[in-house]
Amino acid sequence: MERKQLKRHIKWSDYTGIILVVLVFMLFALTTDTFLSSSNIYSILYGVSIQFFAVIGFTFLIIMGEIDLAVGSTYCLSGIFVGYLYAAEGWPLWLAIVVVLAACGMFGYAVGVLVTRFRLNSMMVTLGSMSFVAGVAAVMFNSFVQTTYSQQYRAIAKWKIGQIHWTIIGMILITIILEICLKRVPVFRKMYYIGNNGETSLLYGIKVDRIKRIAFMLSALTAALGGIISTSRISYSSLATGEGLEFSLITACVVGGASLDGGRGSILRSLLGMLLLAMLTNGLSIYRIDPFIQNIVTGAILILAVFVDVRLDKKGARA
Amino acid sequence: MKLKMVAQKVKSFDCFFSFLVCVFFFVCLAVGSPYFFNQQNILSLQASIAPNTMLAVGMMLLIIMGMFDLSVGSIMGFSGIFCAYLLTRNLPVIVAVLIALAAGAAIGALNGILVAYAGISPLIVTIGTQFIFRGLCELIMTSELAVSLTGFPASFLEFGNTRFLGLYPMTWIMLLVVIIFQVILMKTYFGKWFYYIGGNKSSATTMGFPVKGMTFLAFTISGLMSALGGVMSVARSQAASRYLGNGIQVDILIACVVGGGSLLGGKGGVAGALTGTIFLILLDNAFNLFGINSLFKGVVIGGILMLVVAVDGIVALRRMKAQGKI
Repeated sequence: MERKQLKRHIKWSDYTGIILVVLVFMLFALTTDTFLSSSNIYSILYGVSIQFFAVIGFTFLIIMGEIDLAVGSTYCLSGIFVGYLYAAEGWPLWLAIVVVLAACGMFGYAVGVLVTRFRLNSMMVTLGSMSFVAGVAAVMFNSFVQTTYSQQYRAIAKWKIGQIHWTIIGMILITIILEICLKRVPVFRKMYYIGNNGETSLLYGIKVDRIKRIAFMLSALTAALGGIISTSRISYSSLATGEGLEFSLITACVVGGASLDGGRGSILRSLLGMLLLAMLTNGLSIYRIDPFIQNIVTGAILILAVFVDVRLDKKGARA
Repeated sequence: MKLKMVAQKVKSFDCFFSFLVCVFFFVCLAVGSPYFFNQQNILSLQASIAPNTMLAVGMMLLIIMGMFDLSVGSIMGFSGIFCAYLLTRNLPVIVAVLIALAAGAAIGALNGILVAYAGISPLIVTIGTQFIFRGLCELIMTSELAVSLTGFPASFLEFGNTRFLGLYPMTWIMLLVVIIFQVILMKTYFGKWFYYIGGNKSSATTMGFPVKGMTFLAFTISGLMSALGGVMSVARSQAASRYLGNGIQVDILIACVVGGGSLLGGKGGVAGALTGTIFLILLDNAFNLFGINSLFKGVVIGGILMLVVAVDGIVALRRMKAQGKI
């Protein structure tokens, strides 16, 4: 009896994300002419593939029941920071990128230390670090003359392997590798144990604090990487980059089947969630529906997806 | 001896820290800048403190219960814009304001139903309603083809701009609301329910407290307060902008945490919501008066918030160690 219930529970949380993606895809593919064109599909994939980098570390944290609200502002800062070192200070581009990634990673690690060492609520701490990082980004943005970046910086997002942008190939490869890791490799499995029950996993000798600190570092690092590529793509720095990204990442993870209580979610499901949001934005603009109605649809879908899931599971509060 | 007891009692207030910082800031500004007591400055301080505090009061009730509401900014924007829309349609002022407040309360009630009775987490619900009602704001503004709505009846503008004993009517309303809620929280049995539920939800449920009903009530109050803040803001600035209340929820959340609330629940007070808000506004004011680049504001606020949270955590950790729980 108990095993049966468990089975059904896992089944639904596995499939809600995929079902939604397929439904939305079919809806737009059948009702519009342009949605299914290869260039349109490609542009959706390309857009998602850049933001996808930011969701990697974020998903790890969500699996462990933690959250990092600073992803959006880190995403914004990193592009500006690289631009500052490269365009204003005249550093070589590769050095600038390495330094920025290291700095963001260290900052994320410090946040992780705060959270684990003093047993703080990660949401409160990252609410602070979000404001802090956004402030640093604004200060840095105004400290050098903004121009369109040179060809070298812009080339990062444009680099292609064969006919396809490297970010798309990277996205697919990373998803496959991490998905296998999350299923098979012990370190990754431990994240689910921590998310399900932190204290028990501590008793079983899992180094909870260390894994969490590294996940916080990864979250900042991957967000920074995404930010650099995104800035390279739009070819100039903007304070609007990554605005509200933390909310859309939460939406993507949860629609994809993660729970804010931890213990659920995976890279593939987060990717599905992001694809869903991107397809909605794309499809609704084909219908010439204004962006603000897309907001309404996004909000409604988020609540609806979780509501349906709660009803299906009948497991009480989720996420 | 008695003085010591009083001192200890004062220190045990959750908003003690933020109150100290507020006084510190106030003295710094009063001494450091000749413009601080300028009529215009005092008025503009009130105009930003009063609406923000209304939002913070609603948020604080939820924080005491261990929840929060990210949709306050959107509710504030929607109610303010809706009120302005009705006023430009020549509805009587009282009716327009009441409808706007009812709309805010209804949105809050929707949040409450989804959290309490559908069992969805407050974070998800309020992110969702934040998106939805920000979209509706834009819908109204776009249908009006305007960046901001203006041209309200004189009696409405009077509410925002007359002064009584040197303070705006909205400041008096704010003080009244803060006092009422503070008394309810501290002196009534009903007020203690908020803390019991926030302290330990499952025990509160077992003990027979109406947890769901209280959750619903707190969200409704938060919606109502946000709507009140939105209407106040529109009345004062004589225009309803498209961006009214956009992104304000983070500031309000920070104000509540600085004012002694904890997102874990069971802690905080409405007075703290007031001092936390005043702190943020005074900080903003300091940047303006001393001519410091306002870009550093985010850095300072973020730093202070992280510091407050860390100190709070260290104190709690020490207490737990002293009690032998770790």
